[in-house]
Amino acid sequence: MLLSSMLLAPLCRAFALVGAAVALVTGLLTTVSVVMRAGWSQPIPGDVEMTQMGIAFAISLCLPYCQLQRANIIVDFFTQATSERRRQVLDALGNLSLVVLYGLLAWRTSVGALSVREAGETTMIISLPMWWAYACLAPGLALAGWVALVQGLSGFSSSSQEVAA
Amino acid sequence: MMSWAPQLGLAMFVAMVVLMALRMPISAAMFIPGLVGYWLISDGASTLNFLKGSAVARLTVYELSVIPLFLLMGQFATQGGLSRDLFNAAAAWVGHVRGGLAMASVLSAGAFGAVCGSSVATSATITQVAYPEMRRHGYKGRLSTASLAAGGTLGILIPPSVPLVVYAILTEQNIAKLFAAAIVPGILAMLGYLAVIGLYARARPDMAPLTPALPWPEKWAALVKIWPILGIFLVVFGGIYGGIFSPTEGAGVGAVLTLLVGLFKKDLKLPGLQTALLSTAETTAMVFLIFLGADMMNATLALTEMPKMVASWVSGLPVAPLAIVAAVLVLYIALGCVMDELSMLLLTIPVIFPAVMALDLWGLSYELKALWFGILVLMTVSFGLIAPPVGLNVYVVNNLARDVPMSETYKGLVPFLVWDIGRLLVLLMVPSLSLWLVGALFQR
Repeated sequence: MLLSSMLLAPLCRAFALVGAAVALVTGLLTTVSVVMRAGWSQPIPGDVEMTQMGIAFAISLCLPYCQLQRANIIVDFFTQATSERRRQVLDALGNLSLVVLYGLLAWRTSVGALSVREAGETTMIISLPMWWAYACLAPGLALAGWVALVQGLSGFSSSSQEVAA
Repeated sequence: MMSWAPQLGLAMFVAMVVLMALRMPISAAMFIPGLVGYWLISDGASTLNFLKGSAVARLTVYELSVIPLFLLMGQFATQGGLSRDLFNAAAAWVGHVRGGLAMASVLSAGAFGAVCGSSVATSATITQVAYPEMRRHGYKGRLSTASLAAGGTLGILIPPSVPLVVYAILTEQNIAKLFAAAIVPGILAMLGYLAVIGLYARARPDMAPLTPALPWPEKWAALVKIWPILGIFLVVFGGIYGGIFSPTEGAGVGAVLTLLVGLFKKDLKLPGLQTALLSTAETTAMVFLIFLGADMMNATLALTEMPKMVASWVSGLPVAPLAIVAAVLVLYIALGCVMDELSMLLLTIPVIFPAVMALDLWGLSYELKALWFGILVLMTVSFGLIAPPVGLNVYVVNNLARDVPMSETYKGLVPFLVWDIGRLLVLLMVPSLSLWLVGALFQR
């Protein structure tokens, strides 16, 4: 468990840096396209499609880092009076519930990718294969699920071992 | 439709609230009851089939790309030192009046809000530059932290605004028009906060000692330094309202411009760039994970037809329509006190929006009613950010100003909250305050 958590932190950080950088690249693409449209009435073809896919990819890559940082929003108002230990168990259960969310979505999105690829769907303007949009979400979702699983399981062991953030 | 579907919808709501109270992350607390409900109403195969496309359907919404891009823009502005320049300029001009440094923090938060769509980011960045100055000049904790927390809400009250984008997408409204509708109420909020600080400082001069005025050349020098912010704002909003690009494209242009300004000023270096990317990643994931959870819940609620039933029930109530809207706003204020504001919108707007739209309010058209209601909801969101027991902005500010107890900040916030309520009432009674700018910009 320790070894995996030592590897997890840098991996999540790398995913997040790439994710935010991809978002920035779509911003750059949009800017160039806007300038070309204003100056030469000739935007970059398919800029909207590329932005859609790029941002979806970017968001999925950001998920593991947010999970690693335990930055997902919880309501702690009603459990302020309970003991530290009980809160720890509740948080571990909370992380396991997120495993369900990430895991199901990673699995089903991958299945979706396969069936969309078979159908051969493409985007309208520059004919990007639609299954890319599905497939690129899976790594981020899966890694986030793995982080949540490690956090959830380590929360039950009494020596509350944190995943290095 | 099965006869027990509405009861199932209710049961899902109850389950969600219980799970949330038990510290389950909000996204999962919405996702899991939604998932079980979907399974019960349809069957396993349809549920798995729905999940195949739901994440892609949400994450590839073109308009939603403004959220990471506006967040990126705010982060570049923070790491690029733009907030420091803004605060210095504001302090140079108003710092010498009674309570002037607190006013300067509100003014700079308002200006920063024009390039940043998040109130947490605005509070954090302005606190980092303004709090040490206020402390150095002998300002008392309560006034400083309360002004910073209240000022931080201008991050969302003044466009761009992440909650407004979320509202626009949930209700299929035009983002540019919603931003236009937010401008006058946002400026009103800022002027009110300035007035509150002025009265506060006059009543308790011990809280805000006077500081000497700067000579004129220094004032002008400080003002000149904020041209990049002004430039970015003019390009982004000029472009959106001049019809050169859409709000979605404006967010991309804004992020790139802010990055360039930071690099050009040489304030944005590699560590800052890395921090900006990581913070953007964290907030982006947080927001979209809530989206994914809420989608599951809302898909099931739509199957139960609960939103339709609530709408017809509400419009049949023998109560004045305005009283119903007021009741909804009170509900939002109450909810916002205990839960996160974004999840509150995602969860309630699909149910409450159709109900409100079915009412006759001031004889407004559907679109104007939707814009006006959006602004009212935004005000309640900002209220929740600074109201006890869990005001997110208060946490952020006190985390950076550790020598001030949180209870002191809440005490200091009372007059600001009174102004928030007063403003909400005025906006409720005078829709044209929100709507006239929309008319002026879009009736061509």
